Amino acid sequence: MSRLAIACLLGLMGFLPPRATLADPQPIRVGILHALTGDMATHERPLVATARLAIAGINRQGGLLDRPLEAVVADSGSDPALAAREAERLITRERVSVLFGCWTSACRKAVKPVVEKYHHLLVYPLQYEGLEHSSHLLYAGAAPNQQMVPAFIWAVQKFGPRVYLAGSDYIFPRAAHLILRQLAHLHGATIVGESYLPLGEQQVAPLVADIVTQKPDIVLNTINGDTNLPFFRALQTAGAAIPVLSFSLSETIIHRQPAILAPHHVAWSYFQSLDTPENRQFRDQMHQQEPGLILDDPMVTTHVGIQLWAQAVREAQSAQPEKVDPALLRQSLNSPMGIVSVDRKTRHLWRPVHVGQIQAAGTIQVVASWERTIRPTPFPEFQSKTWWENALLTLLPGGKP
Amino acid sequence: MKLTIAQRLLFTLVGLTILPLALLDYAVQQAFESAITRTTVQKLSEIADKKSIQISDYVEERLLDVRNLGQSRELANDLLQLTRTYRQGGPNGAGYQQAVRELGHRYQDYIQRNGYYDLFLVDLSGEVVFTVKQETDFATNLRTGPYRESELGQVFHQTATLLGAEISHLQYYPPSSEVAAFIAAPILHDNQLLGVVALQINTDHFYSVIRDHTGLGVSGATLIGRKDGDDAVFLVQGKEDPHTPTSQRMALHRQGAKPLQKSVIGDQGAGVTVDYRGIPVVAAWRYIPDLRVGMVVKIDAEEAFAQLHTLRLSGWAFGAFLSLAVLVAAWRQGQHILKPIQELTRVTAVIAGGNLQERVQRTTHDEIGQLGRAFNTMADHLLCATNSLETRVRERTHDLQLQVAERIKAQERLRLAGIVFDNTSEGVVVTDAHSRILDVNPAFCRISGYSREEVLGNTPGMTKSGRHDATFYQEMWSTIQQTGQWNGEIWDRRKNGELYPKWLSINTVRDEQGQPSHYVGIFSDITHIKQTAEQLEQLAFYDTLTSLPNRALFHNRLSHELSVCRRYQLKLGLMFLDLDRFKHVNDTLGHHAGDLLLQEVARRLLQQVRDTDTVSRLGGDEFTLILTDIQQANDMAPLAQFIIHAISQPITLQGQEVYVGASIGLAVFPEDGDTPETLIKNADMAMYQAKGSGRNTFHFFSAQLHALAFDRITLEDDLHKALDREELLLYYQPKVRLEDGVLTGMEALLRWRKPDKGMISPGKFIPLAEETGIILPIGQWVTNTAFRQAAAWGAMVPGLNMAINLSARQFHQKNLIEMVRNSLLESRVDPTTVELEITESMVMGDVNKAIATMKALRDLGLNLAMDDFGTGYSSLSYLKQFPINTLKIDQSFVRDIPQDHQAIAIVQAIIAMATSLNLHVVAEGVETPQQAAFLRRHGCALVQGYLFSRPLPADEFERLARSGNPFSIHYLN
Repeated sequence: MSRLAIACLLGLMGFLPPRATLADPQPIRVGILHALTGDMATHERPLVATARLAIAGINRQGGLLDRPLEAVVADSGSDPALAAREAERLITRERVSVLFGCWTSACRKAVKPVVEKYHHLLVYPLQYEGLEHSSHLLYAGAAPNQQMVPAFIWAVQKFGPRVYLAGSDYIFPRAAHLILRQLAHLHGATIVGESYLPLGEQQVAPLVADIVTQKPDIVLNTINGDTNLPFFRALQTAGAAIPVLSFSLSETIIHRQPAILAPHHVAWSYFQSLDTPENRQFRDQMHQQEPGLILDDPMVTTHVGIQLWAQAVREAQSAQPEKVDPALLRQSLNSPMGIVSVDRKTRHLWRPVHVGQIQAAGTIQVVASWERTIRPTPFPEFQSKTWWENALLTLLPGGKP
Repeated sequence: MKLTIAQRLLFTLVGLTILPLALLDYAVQQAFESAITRTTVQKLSEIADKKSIQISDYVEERLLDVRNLGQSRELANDLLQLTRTYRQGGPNGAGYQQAVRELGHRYQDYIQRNGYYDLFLVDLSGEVVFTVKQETDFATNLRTGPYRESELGQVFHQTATLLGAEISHLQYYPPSSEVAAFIAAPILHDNQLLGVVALQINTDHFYSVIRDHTGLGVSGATLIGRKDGDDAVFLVQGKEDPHTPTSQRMALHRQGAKPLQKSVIGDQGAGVTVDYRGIPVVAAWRYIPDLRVGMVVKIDAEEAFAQLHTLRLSGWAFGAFLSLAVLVAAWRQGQHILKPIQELTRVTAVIAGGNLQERVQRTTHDEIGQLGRAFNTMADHLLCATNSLETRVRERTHDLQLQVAERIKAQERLRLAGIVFDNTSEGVVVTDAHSRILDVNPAFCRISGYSREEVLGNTPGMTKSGRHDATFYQEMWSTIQQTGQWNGEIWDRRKNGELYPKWLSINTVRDEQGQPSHYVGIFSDITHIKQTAEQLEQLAFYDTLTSLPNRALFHNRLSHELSVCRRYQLKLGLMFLDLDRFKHVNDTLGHHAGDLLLQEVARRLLQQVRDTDTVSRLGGDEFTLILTDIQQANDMAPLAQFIIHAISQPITLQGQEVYVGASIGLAVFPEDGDTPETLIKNADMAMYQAKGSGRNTFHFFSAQLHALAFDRITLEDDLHKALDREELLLYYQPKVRLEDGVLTGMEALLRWRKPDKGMISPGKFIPLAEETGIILPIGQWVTNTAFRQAAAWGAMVPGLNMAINLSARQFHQKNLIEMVRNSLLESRVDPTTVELEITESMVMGDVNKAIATMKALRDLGLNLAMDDFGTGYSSLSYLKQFPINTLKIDQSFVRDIPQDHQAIAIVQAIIAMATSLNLHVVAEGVETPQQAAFLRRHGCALVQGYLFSRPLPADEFERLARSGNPFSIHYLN
């Protein structure tokens, strides 16, 4: 009798839809394109590590759409042309669903036409000079009005109106200075000097001498990479007590030589020391996996970019770039740096910004915070878009993009 | 197990029917529940997304307004004047009052015209020097005064420092005594920062966006809240009056956060959850960065799942009914089997007790009945053996008594049958073997409407509905002949002509020989049952508003039609239609008007299509049309136009004429996808393209174009490599003097030999090269190669003239002259033996610039020819200014000689024009002796064409030139 009932039940089960297939699902491939070799490797390797941790975190929670994520890492070799070729390979050969990558503007500008050609998607994690729009990029880093502009105003109010601009000689500092000059004019500040050093330059004496001569109230620093340490060391040696506010000095770099860099200032959306429940939880989580890891703005931006993309994939129920993109444009996230939201029109993030003072121990103490998250305006509104585009053309080598 | 037969029977039936039935019922309900949950959650997500886009669009538009004000020269001047007089005499001074009288009305007009509450002009120091409303905030200072912490103060500060337009939070504003939001922009004039202009938003407009409940049903609502410290605070709540700020606060970071608490900290999602009232809801929550608020769109679960409750109830009722029926059947069947067995047991016991008279009385026709009869036989034999003759007499008497009893019983049965026959609610018809009706019962008459007399002697065929074909009845009769009976649903006609469905069972009555003697048909009217089933289907698969198929049925139909189309290789069209300006109607005339509008649109759509096409409403203002059996994709275009026209006709709603439009996306099976999903996606995309290209239009999705584009990329790539791989060649077509057949020159023509594909037609790759710019390096290669070749051949056969085609891009290239000069120097060719050919279209844009370029080329000593002359639109006055030596008559005119009079006239005119302007003239594409003779007669000296020679590879041409033999032209005379 009972055997019969069981047989009946089993028979009925056969008509029910199967719960899940037993075969392993195809992974969703995620392209990560950063310099593992060359000049930029020291900066970009931590981003690759962050991306891997974020992907592992998502996989621990069951992946996306019942499929695991698989990181496909490509080395851009710090060479924009190679980055473009690798991006093409990741898209066409490796069939990745999205690209996270690039540090320098040169890299981004080289990869941009490739993702546009294949209607693909690149998430770019760095603060940059703005003045750009592509419908196949998500600019996750800060636009000028989300970092430089508020920090500039803070600096002028705190230290005084005589400003010195020092930067590396490539597109980002030159465009940044272009914007700061306009801003200084409108706010009645004076640019008392402007200098550029080649990337990787160690000979900083002439620059420091010029700064000492000009005696500015504040130096705004857009020097990138390894030149920063000799610059600050020379400034310290010269005994000039001139405050410096830096825009490209990441916490990872600061931690190597904090004694030289204190008590100068940096401006970012994220500092490891931010005391919010979200950041405490995030910091603990990361340190559990990677004890002693220094977290900085570009790393957290990479993390945020991946989370936003993952949310969009869940919402779109697909990993195809053309389906993910519309969903991506309406994402928000309660992130370690605060609430970030994708701005549909500019394809940038609404972000907070803080100014922090470097402590001798390497930590950063927040001294000023912009109270509200800032709407991204990659083309600052105090000049027209055309004006910026024309001005940008004059900055580029040969006057052409 | 000590179970009786009755118990076993009961368990078996329960196991076999009730248990699976209950499980099946449960499984179906689960599936239905999860489907409804999924679609409801998805629908709410869509509404939330739409709404947040609406809000950010609204903010974007306001920012645009204030940005424009900030850049207005007039406003800057007004601010300067107001500030000056304000500083001189204060807000009550005569100068300031005079200025306000002069300027104030502009801003009064502005806020009225654009629907703002107030407008503020603030100078750089923070002094509010002008407001339209003159509330208590006027003449205060936003840096130091009482309202420095207000939202107006905050947005002033942000705008004056960041120098970009911004919107404030939505918060209670004391001077206006209500919730307010401000937008502000810097006033920039001559690259100077003068102050800030701010607008106070009329919150009614903003709330109307939030309170729009389209698609949200009765209990639907939208909540807006903001994070305030560790709490979430409601700003706008549901359908209650939004004008007073609701002070309800809820702590954040609590277990099981409600949607609003999640949304205000930037989370977003959707699902079935519990809202702030503790009531289960379906909700979607979003964060809106522009206002830094969270938004929740929700509908009570009770309303959302109302349909589900009904279904669940009817499901269980149906299950309970079936279970009861099974139990009763089991009990009766058990009794049926048990009774004879108990009887047999009793009789056996009696016989065993010595009473041989006892017999089994109740025998049935089944196995137990046989047992009973066998038992009786055995008892009979036993009795026979023991009983005497006397008993035989008694037996006979007994038999007689039995017969009488039998007859009485038979009569009783007949009477009973008669009562059943007369009183049953089922219609009964009895016919003879030839289907002639012998009798019908009252129920038959009631159902069919015929009286007994009307049908007797007829066949049941007289009530045929005509709905079934002959095969149906043939199959029915063959079933009856094979099995003796038939059951099924059949449509019949009542006497009043009405058709109705009935459930009919026919049984054969056979005579002793086994031949059919009668047929008995029993039927019941199932019209009501059918109607109920149809209503149920209507509810599940049709949109209640428009009665059109809903999304679920649309998917079913599309899958079904696609499988048909795939089998028969037919085409199928899919249209996606989205109304333009529907939201506007909803906003201005209300939800009810929106519903009426959708119904009218549905009616118009149905008028435009064939019966075989399916029009569905997917929800909101989205409609789809499945067009079956179309011949080609373009057949859909006129239909789409008709539909757009029909929808754009005015619609009268509540006495008001409104206008809406439609954007249509079209996709075709199988070209644009062969699964329902891709077709739907592509039609949807096409619809968005239609919206993008200006609305009230339609757009095809064409995967084919995409594929073409891909082919082009491959070709482009190969073309890039062709130069390096030396796949490009020059061929040379001889140019002949008609007078004596002497070879006077050649035209260099570009060819591409691709190792894997052979010769690629120049018509295919040259336009591509032009478009992509590869023509420049290719052109340079052509020029270099041809120049070198001309130099070599010039040394060998003096006087040969080399013609080389210039492309449009090359001609407009900045360094053309330099490039040609270098080429000339490098090849050492005599420039007078080279002629560059340009076309009319190249020189028509900027004529003066073109003439300058041509002069520069002539200055290098080169000759110039106008190629394909006659095909463009050169005016004679220009032609005179062009420093050219030669006109080339296009082969399209030469080809039509001598049949086409128009061609003849054109060629004559070109030759005459060339002669009068003192230009050489060369005819291209000469193929017949007649053409050559005609040209010669009319004074055209030089020709080229297949009549003399096709274009030749370099080595062949060289052989020809070396031979020095003139071409034969004697036959032209």
